[in-house]
Amino acid sequence: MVSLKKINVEVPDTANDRRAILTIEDLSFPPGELTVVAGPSGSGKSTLLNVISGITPLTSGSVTVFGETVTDFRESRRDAWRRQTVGMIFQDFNLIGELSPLDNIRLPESFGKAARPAADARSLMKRFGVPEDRTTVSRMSRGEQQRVAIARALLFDPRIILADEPTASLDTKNGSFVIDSLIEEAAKGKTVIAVSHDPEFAARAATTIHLDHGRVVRKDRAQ
Amino acid sequence: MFIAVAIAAGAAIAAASTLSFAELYEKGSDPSAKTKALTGSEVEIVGYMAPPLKAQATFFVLTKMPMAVCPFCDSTLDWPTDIVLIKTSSIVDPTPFNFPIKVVGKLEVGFEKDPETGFVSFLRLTDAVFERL
Amino acid sequence: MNPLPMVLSTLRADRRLNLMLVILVMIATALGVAIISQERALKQASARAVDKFDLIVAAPGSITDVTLKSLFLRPGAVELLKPEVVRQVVAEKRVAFAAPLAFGDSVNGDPVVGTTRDLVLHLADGHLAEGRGFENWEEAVVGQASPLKVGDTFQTSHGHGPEETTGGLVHASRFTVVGRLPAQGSPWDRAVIIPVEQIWKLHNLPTGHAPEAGPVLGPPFDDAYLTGVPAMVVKPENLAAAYGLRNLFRTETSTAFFPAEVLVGLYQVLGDIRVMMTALAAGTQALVIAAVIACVIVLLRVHRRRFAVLRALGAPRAYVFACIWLYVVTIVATGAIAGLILGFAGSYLAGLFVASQTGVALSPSIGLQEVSLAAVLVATGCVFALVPAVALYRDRLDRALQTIS
Repeated sequence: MVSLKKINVEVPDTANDRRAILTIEDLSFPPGELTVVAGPSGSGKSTLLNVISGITPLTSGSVTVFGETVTDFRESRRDAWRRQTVGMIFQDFNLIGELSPLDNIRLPESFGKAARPAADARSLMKRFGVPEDRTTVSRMSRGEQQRVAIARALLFDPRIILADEPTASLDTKNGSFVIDSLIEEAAKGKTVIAVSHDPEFAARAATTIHLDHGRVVRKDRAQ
Repeated sequence: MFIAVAIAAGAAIAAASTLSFAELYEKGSDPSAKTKALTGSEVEIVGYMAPPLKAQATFFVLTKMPMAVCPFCDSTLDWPTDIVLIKTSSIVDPTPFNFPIKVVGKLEVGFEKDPETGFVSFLRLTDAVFERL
Repeated sequence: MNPLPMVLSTLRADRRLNLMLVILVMIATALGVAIISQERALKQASARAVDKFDLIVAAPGSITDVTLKSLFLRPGAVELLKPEVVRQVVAEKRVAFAAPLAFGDSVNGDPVVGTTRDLVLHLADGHLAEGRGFENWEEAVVGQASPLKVGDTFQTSHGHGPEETTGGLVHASRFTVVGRLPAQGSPWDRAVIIPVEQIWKLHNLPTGHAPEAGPVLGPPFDDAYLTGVPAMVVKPENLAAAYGLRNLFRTETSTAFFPAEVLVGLYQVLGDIRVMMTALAAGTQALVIAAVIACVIVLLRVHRRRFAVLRALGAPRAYVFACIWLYVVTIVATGAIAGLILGFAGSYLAGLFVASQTGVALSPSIGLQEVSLAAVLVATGCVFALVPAVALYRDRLDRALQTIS
C-alpha cells in the first residue's frame, strides 16, 4: 500500500510568495491494481508521481510505502530504495541513446553497491520482444524503445511502477502493448500508477483519479 | 619534486662541517689534518665556479679566487692547491665566475682519473649541491 | 558504482565536440612539450658536438665566431693566429696534443679541414669506423655522412660552394680517401679531413717542415717553418692544465677558451627564449582548460535531463558526480597523453630540420619535465572538472526532469 498523508508541495511564485502545486489530504494506492491519474496539464499529475518516488521535496506531509515512511529517509537511502522499489517509465523513454538495449536495461546495476537485479535482463528483452541485434537504442523505433524502458523499469522487480504518459508518444498498437504489460504487472500484485490522457488506459484501470489545480476532484472505481 | 630537492639540500647543508680553502693543505701541497679527518664526510666549502670546461656536464671546478684573479697562473703543479673538483648528481647550471657559491658534498682525497673526461683530480666533493651566496 | 558506461556514452553523445576538446588540449600540451624537449635536445646535441674539443686557442676576437667557424665549420674568414703563438702552443708540455685547424676550402660544398693525425685519432676515439688515418700528404679521412667513399679520389676547391669557385680555383692536388670517422653528431660528419701541411702547401705557405725534410707529417713541426692558422685544438693533460693554458693564452695576441663557455652563453639565450615560450604555452594551456570547462558546462546543460533521469532511476548523487568528473578528466588526460606524443613528434621533426641546416645531430627525448608538464595539466583539469560535476551534483532533480532534452 502506498499512502499519502497531508501532502503539501509549494513552489516559489513571486518574489516572496509561494504557490501550492499539490495538496492531498489522504490518498492511497492498493497493490495489485492499476491506477490512472488524469487531469488537465499543470494539474499536478507528474508532481504526484515525483512525490511518491521521493524526487520532489515536500513542504509538509508524509509518504508511507509498505509500512516505511519514505519521506523520513536520508537521501542516499531514498536513492537505493527508489532503485529497488520503484520502476519508472517516461513518455519519451529517457534511454541512453548511445548504449545497446541490453546495456540500457542493465544500467541501474551500475549505480551502486548491492544492486543485484532480481530479473534477468535477457529474459526481460525476450518477454517484451526487444530485438537483440541493435547496437544502440537510438536506431530503434519508438515502440521498441518503450519496450526497452519497461524492461529497464522491471530489472529490480519493483513493488511500485510509476509511468508518466507512457503511451502518449506511441501509436495505438504499441500503446495497447504498454497498457497490457502494465496490467499484467498489476495482476502480479504490483502497485501500478500511470499518468495518462489515454481513454483506453482509463477504461482498463481499476481506479481513475482526477486532479485539478493540485487537488483530487474525483475518484472513479471501475465496476 | 623541487621542494624535496630543496629540503634535501637544506638538510645536507645543515649537517655539513665547514672547510675553507686556507684549511685544505699544510706545508705546501699535503692535505691538512682537518682535510684528512673530514674525508668521507659531508663538508661545505665557499668558493667560485670556474668557467665550464664541458657543456651539460655534471662537474665543475671550484676555485679559491674568482677566475679573473687567475688562480692557475703561477702554478705548474699537477694539482694546484686552490681548486677543488665538484661532482654533482644533476647537470650543472653554470653561475658567473665572479660570484661566490657555497658547495656541500662528500669530501674525497687522493688522485683519481675520471673515466669519462680523462681528467685527473686530487680533492673532490661528490654528490654535491651548490647555491649562490 | 561503475560510472564508466555513462562516461563512455557521454563521450560518444557529442563525439565531434569532445574530439575537438581533446585536440585543443593535445595542441596546448604538445606546444609546451615540444619547447622543453627541443631545448634539451639542442643543449645535449651541441654539448656532444663540441665535447671532443677541450680548449681552443685562436686569434683575439669573438669566441662565438671562432666556435661557429672552427667547430661547427660555418663558412667565413677568421683572423689567423700568429706563427709565434702557434709555435708556443706546439711547444707546450702540459698537453696531450695540440692540433692546428685550417679551413676555408671545400669539396662539392662540404668543408675541408686541415689538421694532424692526433686530432683524427682523438675524434675517432682511437678507432676509425672504416680504413685508417692519413699517412701522407695526398690522403684524406672523411666524416661519417660524407658522400665520398674509401678509395675515392677528389680535388679541393678554394672557398665554399659553387658561387665561390666560379673563378675555377680548383687546387691542383688530388687526394685519396683512406678512412672514415665514426659519427660525431656535428658538422664534422660532412667534413673532409686532410693533412694541414697540404693546405699550407696549396696556399703557398711554409709547410711546417723544412723543404729538404720532404713531405713528412707533423708533429713535430719545424719551428722555423710554422705558419699562422685559424685555430689550435688543445687537449690539456689534466684539469689544472686546462685552466692554466686557458689563462696562459689569453693575451694580446691570442685568446683561449673552452667551447663549453660559448655554449653556456648560448644556453642562457636559449633558456630565456624557452622561459618566454613556455609562459606562452602555459597561458595557452590555461585558456584551453578554461575553454574545455566552459564547453562542458554548456554541454551538460543540454544533458541536464539525462543525468536527472539516472537519479530518478535510483542513481545516487555521487554517481552523477563521478560520471561528469571522469568525463572531463578523460578528455583532458587523453589530450595530454596525445599531446606528449605530438610534442615529441614535433620536437623530432624540428630536430631533423636543425640537423639538415647545421649538421648537428639532435636526438629529442621526453623527459621528466615534459611528463610533469602534462601531469600538471591533467591535475589542473581534475580540479576544474569539479565545477561542472558539483553543478550537476547539486541540481534540483524535479526541475531537471522537466527540462526538454
